[in-house]
Amino acid sequence: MQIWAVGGGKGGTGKSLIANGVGMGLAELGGSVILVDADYGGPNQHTYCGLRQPSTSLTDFFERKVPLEALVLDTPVPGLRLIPGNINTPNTDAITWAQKQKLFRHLRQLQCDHVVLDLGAGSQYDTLDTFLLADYQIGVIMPDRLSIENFYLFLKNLKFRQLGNMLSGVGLKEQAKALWKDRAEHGITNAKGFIQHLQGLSSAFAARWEEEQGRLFLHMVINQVREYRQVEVGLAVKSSVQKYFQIETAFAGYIRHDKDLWQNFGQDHPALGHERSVTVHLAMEGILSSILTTQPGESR
Amino acid sequence: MGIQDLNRCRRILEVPSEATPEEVTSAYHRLKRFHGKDAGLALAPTLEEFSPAARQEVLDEIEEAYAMLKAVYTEMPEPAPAPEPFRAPEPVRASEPTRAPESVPAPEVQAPAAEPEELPANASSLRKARGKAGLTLDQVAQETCVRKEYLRALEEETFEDLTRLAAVNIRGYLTAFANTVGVPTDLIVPIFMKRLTDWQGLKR
Repeated sequence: MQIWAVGGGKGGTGKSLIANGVGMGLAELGGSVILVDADYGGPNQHTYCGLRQPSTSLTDFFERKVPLEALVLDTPVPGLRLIPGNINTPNTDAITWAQKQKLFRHLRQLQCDHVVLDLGAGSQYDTLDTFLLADYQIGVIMPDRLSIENFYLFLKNLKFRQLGNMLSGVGLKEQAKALWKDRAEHGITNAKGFIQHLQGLSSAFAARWEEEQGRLFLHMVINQVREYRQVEVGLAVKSSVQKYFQIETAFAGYIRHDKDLWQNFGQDHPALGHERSVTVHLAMEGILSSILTTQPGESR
Repeated sequence: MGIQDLNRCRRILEVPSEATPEEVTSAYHRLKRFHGKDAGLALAPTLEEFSPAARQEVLDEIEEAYAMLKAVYTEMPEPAPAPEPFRAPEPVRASEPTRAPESVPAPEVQAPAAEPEELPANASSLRKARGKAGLTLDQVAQETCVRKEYLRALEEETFEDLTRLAAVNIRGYLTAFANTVGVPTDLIVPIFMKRLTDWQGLKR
């Protein structure tokens, strides 16, 4: 079973749209897919899928400990099923980190070919951890400065989280903390310099870090493109991610702005179905095929 | 240069191993656009990752990788040529109060002494050809509708006098000049433009 995670910092860039498109695309390719709406702050995968009143949701998992497999709902798309987000949780903050961890553990037990996770905005630890553990990692931006800046912040947090997670493993946590605190004295200005310094300190760290880098391979999508030069922005961001954040990245494609998309929601059919949203549907097919055929090491 | 160096250069230029020389060159120009002075949205200067030093490092890496790949593709004998072929003499304009009598070669960014003769075409061939055709600069200016100052700058490779022009204009003026005095443009235009960009690179 493969886990797909869609993330990328800023809200409203189209993470849910991409997650839904990926889920639908994988189902259309013949896979058995479960979409999981892990956007605790703003769940709406059910609306993308055309389910107006989902009978169950993650609220049942978090509050009533209903097993995850009992929450899986059919959607109008053959092969695509959904676990709706915590639509009826009155206090999203009450979902503890342990509960989110448990959710992730249980996801691995689901019976299907693909689990597609809509992660929601922000850089909370559980979002970062989930993203890091996914088999396919997709980042979404829009061609504007706000979204791109937040995307970089997300990646920076991702890097630091990855670092934090493994530092205790090699017994360097305290030393690294002290080093970061006095970073100016050591001439360290950013994560890259910090990591280089740590690599010099410990060969065990250097080896583990090398290994960890293999876990991060970003497929980048740029959404709501209105003119071609904005596609170039996507390509430039991809290049920056590689050069300034040392994250291996592939440009998976772009989605044109669809001014009529909003009309597709709130009805009893999937919003991104091929008969309703040709623009997005076609673009998603291309993006999915790019992700499925691009392996780490051939991202150029 | 080993295969690992090659792969490293390709990774920096973000091209696959089967990339043609043309693809490498266009990747190089694209990356210069993405990461150069006029880079747009894709850089976030607020983050320390994009500090001026870090940006310079990225640009240097791109230049170095391109120079190395280019050397491999053109099968140049020396393994790692300096990115700038014309590093030698400083401009000598200060000591040159009046503008070039016939025998003084173009002063700016001059190639090492032997080079002008070796190249199949260079700017001084414009002057020679103009002499052969028996045309004055004024006549060429009238014929080409290009201002005399620019023609002189082209003839003498005083690139500084061309900085106000866009590359596309320089190319156009040069082509018109060459055509008028009967120099084959396919030789002189690329060579001149290469020197111009080298000079711009040196100046930066």
